[in-house]
Amino acid sequence: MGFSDGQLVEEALGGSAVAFEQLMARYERLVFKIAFVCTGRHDSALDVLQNVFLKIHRKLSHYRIEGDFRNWIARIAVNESINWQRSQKRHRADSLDAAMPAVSPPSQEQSVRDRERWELINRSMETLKPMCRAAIGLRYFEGMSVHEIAHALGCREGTVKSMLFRSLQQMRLNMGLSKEVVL
Amino acid sequence: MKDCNRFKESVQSLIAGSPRLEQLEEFVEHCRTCSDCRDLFEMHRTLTDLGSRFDELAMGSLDETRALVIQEIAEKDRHRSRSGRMRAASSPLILPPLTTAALFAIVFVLGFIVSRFDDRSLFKAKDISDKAFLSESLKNADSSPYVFSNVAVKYLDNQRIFVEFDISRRVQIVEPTHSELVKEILMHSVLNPASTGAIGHFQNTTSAGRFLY
Repeated sequence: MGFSDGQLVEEALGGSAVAFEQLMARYERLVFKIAFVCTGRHDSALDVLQNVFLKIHRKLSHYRIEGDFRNWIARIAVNESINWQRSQKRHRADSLDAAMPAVSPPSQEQSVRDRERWELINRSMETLKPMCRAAIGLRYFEGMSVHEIAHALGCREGTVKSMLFRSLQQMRLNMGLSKEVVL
Repeated sequence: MKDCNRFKESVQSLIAGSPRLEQLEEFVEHCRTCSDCRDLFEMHRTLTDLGSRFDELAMGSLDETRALVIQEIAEKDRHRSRSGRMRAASSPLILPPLTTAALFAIVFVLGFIVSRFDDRSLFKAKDISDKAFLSESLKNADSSPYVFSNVAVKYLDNQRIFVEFDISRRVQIVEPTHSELVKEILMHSVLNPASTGAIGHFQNTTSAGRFLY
């Protein structure tokens, strides 16, 4: 049986690089997903991922062992992604090339279709506020419950529900516009 | 949207991942005739589908990034410990000038306060004074159990006299002019002028040989 998050945190605080590496291996996918949805770019998500774990390493002593480590990390990842998105806003227009590299496409045809779908989704999210993008990422890409998202974003569950609903409505409108432009 | 607001709660529950079956059926039925709600539902399905296949579509390996992070942390730790050792070796404690000045000021003020209220020497002198008072041989300095040296005296006013002297260590006291201790010291000073430093200033004697001070 593996170590618990709390045990790994204690080991990492004691200077164990192996423990911190295990923590990172455990939660890097969560952080990457949040970063990817917030930034819309694969390479940017990797940058954010790197920053987030360097920050976590610095702030590890602030973490309370009895708390939920996953939510704590998610919150840092959301904040870092939002900060990154704000600072890089001007570079967002030409983001599609690096947006979603096909990693292991089932087939060429499927890959093209997925890529198109993702590009549409990504475009439709561009006008969303950073918090809304983060909420979408946590809900659909990480499969978090509304309760968990509320904890990660530091808001109430009702706010999360309403944020998700409004975001989807906005995305639907944006996608309609995109389709019209494409046609 | 026509009566789409009626389904707002259903859609919110659906998006939140906790739909009620009867509401959902009604909403799906509504979607047959409402393109806006259909698009919204389609958006939800697309996101759900892309989200569930995210690892396959976009994740890739994160090993390289993880290795970079671990390497950077290790370098920072090494740099921190190296600079810590260098700092400790070259200059044990370097403080900014303002901090240093503030520390000096604090130490000075504390020292001044302590010196004002520190009654250890006074207690010692009082103790000696009491012993001297009880001594039968006060009038004979030679038989005094106390050996005074480096005596310095200064009159403060008619009632008080400042006396500084050494016994086992240097003591400063403020004593009444009629203090037995002062009397003993003065006697000693007059009888043994070589052992005292300021005898001339207070050598008020009468012809009877009694010390007036």
